[in-house]
Amino acid sequence: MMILRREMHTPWSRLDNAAKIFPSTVERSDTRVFRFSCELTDDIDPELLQKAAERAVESYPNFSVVMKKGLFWYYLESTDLKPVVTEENTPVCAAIYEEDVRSLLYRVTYHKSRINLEVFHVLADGTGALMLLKTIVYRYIIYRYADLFDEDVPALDNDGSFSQKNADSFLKYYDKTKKQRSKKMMKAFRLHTERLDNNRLSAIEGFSSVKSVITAAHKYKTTLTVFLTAVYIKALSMEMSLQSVRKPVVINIPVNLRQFFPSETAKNFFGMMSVQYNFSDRDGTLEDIITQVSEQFKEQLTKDKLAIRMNSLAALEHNFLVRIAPLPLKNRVLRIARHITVKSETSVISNVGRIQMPEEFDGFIKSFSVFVSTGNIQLNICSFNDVLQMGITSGYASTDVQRNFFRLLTSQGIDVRIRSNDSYAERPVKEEVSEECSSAENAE
Amino acid sequence: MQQCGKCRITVDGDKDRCPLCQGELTGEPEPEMYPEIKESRFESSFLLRLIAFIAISAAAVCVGTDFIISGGITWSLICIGGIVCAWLTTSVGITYRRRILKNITWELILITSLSVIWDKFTGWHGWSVDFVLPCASICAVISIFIIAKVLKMKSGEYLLYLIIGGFYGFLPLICLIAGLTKITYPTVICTCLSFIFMAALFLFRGKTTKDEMERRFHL
Repeated sequence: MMILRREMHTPWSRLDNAAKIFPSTVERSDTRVFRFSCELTDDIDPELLQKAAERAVESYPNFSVVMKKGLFWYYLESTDLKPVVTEENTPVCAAIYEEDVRSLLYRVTYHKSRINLEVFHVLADGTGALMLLKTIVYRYIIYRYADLFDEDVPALDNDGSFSQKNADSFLKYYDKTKKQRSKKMMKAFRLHTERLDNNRLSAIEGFSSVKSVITAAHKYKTTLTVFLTAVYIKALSMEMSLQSVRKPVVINIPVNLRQFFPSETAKNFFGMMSVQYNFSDRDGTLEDIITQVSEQFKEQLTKDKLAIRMNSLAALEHNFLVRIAPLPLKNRVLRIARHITVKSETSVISNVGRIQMPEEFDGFIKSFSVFVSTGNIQLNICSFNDVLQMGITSGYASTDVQRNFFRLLTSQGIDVRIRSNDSYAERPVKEEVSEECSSAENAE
Repeated sequence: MQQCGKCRITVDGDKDRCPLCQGELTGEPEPEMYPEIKESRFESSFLLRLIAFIAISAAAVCVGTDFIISGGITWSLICIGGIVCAWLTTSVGITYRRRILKNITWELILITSLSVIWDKFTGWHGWSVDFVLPCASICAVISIFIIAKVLKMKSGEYLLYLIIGGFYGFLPLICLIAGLTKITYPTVICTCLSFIFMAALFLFRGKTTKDEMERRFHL
């Protein structure tokens, strides 16, 4: 009988500042889901993976939640639902959140020797999700190769208490006084080509050796990130029409704020910086793009600059009028705002950086991969040991930017191994292919 | 491993063409690394469109028949009213089919409002406030309670709907005070039950109710 049982309190939490925008701006073409994968050397044992996932998520209470609608905001409510490991049967970064369905906001799947963790961005950013995937992989390897690790089990490098992982660091570092004066928005160059059917996402990833890319970067006296950003800008510019050359190529880059503001949170804690290059006032050589990008990196990657941007974002959430607007209205306004801001961005580069696992696991792990959903085109980078993964997700049927990007890399003497899902314009008519290829060669 | 000579890359898996330039590949294919995804599952919006289509067709046939028989629009207006009501209630039912309690709550609000509108435009006999409003409220609250118990739902899943249903149960009382009600006994029963129900809710589930209100209405 309901009345006789003791009352139980279900913990709940607000969405963090960065997460607040995500549920409102989910579209069929941009599910706001990102995927981390880890490829092992052997095929996956589903039962052990299930055990590993259940065990791993126990350490991340912020992932064991369902999202619900309040009158003014969405919120997250704790749940005892457990992840159910399935064989990969959805497209890359398929939608996770469905209104009115009480389900977890992440999924763990496997295909052959690969483990995938797909996360709805409301829960966590790349760093947070990676902590979970690393723990899952760690648990899995220990279960799978138990006989090799029976005595000394290597330790995983993430600590942090439940409350630290669950903390909203945006709130902690919010400072009302440091705000940005609103900047005038400029229209950026945007790709305008045909979309894939059914809002599919094409995921093409290239694997290279970290050393070879660093060697190439050093030839230009720069770092790997700046080098790849410049190559990507160049690859995008090759698709510009004469009309659009006067618009700048603007690349937004999420920055992990944990490097600047100490935090162990497994929720969202990232800021944005943006670099741009205008092909109409400069010569457009790779050298020049690198110089420009490098300068902008130096200028923007400072604690003060990031704090100012973070505060102006957070100020919106602290605005009284925004707070009292009912959720359906908020959703509509945020969606319109998103459509406007997207016009000032050409693309996004998300660099997760070096992924570290205990050295003892080197023989079992081949590589890590990252893909982020987008309605446009996006470059995602991560590395594990000497394997650099560059994943380009795109909602467009054409693969011209991807081709330009990887061809630019191979022309620098970097070996690239390509892997892709099958979502791109397949088997076009023969004549078209040869024409397209020859025109691309002329462009080069 | 397959190769594309034009892009000077190697390609993983088993591809017919280069993923980058769609050119010919050389070399031996390997096992594919991405599963084949079966697409286009059942689209729920299709059912909604189908129902809208049926409603529009039915309305067109009614008006047409009416016009042929009586040379103008007479009884078909009532038909259209009925069709619109049926269309609205089934659409809401389909939209919230996965959340039965939300479904009941929306249907309660919709059906009671529609019956007041019907009553108003058919000469205000008062049946909507006399019978429909109190009876529907009682039925909704009781069914929400029973379903929640049978499906062993957690308090977070059903409390909000019980609270809304409970407050809705006081609407007939307001109608009575406003002098709209002619036959009073359904209203009296509904009000008594609502008082008893709300008292139970706040006395035995006070903390949970307060928590639920807090999270649903947090600013």
